[in-house]
Amino acid sequence: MAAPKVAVVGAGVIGLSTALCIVETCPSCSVTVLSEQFSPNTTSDVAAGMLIPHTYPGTPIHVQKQWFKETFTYLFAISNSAEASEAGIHLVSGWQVFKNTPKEELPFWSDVVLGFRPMSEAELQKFPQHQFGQAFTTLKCDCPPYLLWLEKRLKATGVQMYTRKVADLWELHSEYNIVVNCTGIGAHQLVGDKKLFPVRGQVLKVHAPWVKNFIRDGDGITYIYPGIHRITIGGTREKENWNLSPDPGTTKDIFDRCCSLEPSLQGAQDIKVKVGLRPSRQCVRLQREVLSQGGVKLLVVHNYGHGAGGFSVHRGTAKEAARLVRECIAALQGASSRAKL
Amino acid sequence: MRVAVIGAGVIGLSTALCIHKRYHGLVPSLEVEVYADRSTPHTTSDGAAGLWQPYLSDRGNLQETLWNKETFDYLLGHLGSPAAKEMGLFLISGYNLFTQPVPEPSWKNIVLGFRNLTPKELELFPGYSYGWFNTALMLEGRSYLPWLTQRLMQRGVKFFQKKVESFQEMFAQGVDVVINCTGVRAGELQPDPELQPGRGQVIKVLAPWVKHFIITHDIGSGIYNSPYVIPGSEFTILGGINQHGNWNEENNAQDHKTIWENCCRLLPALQKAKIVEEWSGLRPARPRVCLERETIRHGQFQAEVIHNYGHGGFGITIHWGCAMAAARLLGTILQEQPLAGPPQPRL
Repeated sequence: MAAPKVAVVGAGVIGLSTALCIVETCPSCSVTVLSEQFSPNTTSDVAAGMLIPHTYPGTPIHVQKQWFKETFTYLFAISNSAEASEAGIHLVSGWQVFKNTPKEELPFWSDVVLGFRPMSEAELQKFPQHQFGQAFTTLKCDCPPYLLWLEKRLKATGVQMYTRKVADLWELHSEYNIVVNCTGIGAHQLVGDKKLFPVRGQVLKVHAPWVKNFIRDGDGITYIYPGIHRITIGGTREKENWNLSPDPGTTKDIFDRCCSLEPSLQGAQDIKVKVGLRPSRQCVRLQREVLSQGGVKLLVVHNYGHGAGGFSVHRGTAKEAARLVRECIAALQGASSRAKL
Repeated sequence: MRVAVIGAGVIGLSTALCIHKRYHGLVPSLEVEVYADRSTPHTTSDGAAGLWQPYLSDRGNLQETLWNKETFDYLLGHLGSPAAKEMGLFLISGYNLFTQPVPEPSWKNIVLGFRNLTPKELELFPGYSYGWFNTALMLEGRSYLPWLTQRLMQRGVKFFQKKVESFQEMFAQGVDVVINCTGVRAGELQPDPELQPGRGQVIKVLAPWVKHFIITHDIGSGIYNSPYVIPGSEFTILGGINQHGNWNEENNAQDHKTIWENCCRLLPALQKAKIVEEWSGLRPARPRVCLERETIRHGQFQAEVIHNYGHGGFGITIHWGCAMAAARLLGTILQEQPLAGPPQPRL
């Protein structure tokens, strides 16, 4: 068959990294990215991009760890290269603090991040309301830079990108052989996945360049993540809330909670408020599907539902999605050979 | 009782403030004045990155380790206060790198979270096989010195922009105690062969993606003669020059090349950083800090000098402990004064 034509739908961190993995592993493919939104208007642009995994109840831990490890290793190499600043990848150290000692003292990812250890008494004194904590060094992917860098690398390999709202995957069947569905929260409507639900997050992006360490409350709701130019402070976890408009009461609440963790944030300037809907699911939907209508087939690879952990596992799931694309190509080539008999 | 502080770097200003805070209420006629030919942003303290970190070895000066600790604890206590931002004070974590194992430093329990580097962390730094990670403090001179100046002016301390040529000049004007915080040029007021410049040069860049300090060490070439990267609140400082005996305050092209190439090799992510400024300064190097009282007789008079200079490349690190020690020395002088009336000349 001629070069397989692959459409990747979605241009957040999942869509772009998946497109890149496909290009890297299937040089014969023609890959096109279609998305309603591109950076700086994707959900990924709202996120801080911290590599601190979210635990998916429906996925085996060893798989999640493998995804995280692949992502961490990939980004670690970029952070230590001349491309680091353009790609927006940098190391950041800090603390995860708990008001009550957690049942699980060692998260599954503790040996993937750097220098993971319990906080000392002296360190905990900075957090009088917290009894226990962990110190470690991890990576942060700043957006838009990371997404723009992915776009640049894709364009360099000849990948075309189009702003297009895909209302139904089937509308792509005449132009593409394989569709990769990286639509995040959009999958709820696009493929009618009722197991996918938004967890609304509101964040503030502030100018406070003296904050060099991250601080995260173990509840995952209050956090301070220093990026290249801005600090992302947050947040909220509102299940089933689809509202993309910032809420002023929430803004004040976030600011107060973060200032109590880091008082110097009182001096933060130029506060911008953002909202994103985490595309949440019991497990990431990472699987092949064959759509058929009237004897015509469309091969689909789904890669969505990363919830609060998109950045942490993006490269790992992108590689798996690319592997599934190769399986689709093999299936198409098999069918094509049979058709010739 | 007129007390004149000579020098308006971190040592002079903090000593003046410590003295005023401690004695202003107690000594009714106390007047504190600051004399300096250079003030912020043109002092040695302004060029320093501002990282709290003593030298690797205390050189046998246990007093200095205590003063370092007092300074760290004092600053840590101010971290949560609204003044911190204005002071240029914030926490920062980072790396000290070595090509071989070294003994732990005297300050390992002063800083936060001190530990050895893991093998994976060392992968970040090819050529270095051993190292430490810890969280320390930054106190940026460009913010701290103006903050100290404002606190002093609010307290009514007077500033005089002039070059003091001798201690006698001060006493002749009626000053009772001189606090000598003249840093690297203390030898101009009173010869001190132990005081030498430790010339440093730094490149200031824009690299806000760098969130850690990285200090490398080459045991053979001496402290700060090996590349270092220190991110500030606005700029990142690249350095690694410490030339003993060199008085030249001009930037040197070869030193620039050394700093730039070594730092980019250490941290490839710096290659895209934009250079903003270059600066050279003279660390007031001495085998140990000169912090002592000296009674000077001139003619029929007896006058007091408290020396507080020679803080090398750790002035910011040690400043508050020294300010308090200098204030204590002033206290002993004050105790020796007669109870009533202004000080009289002793015949």
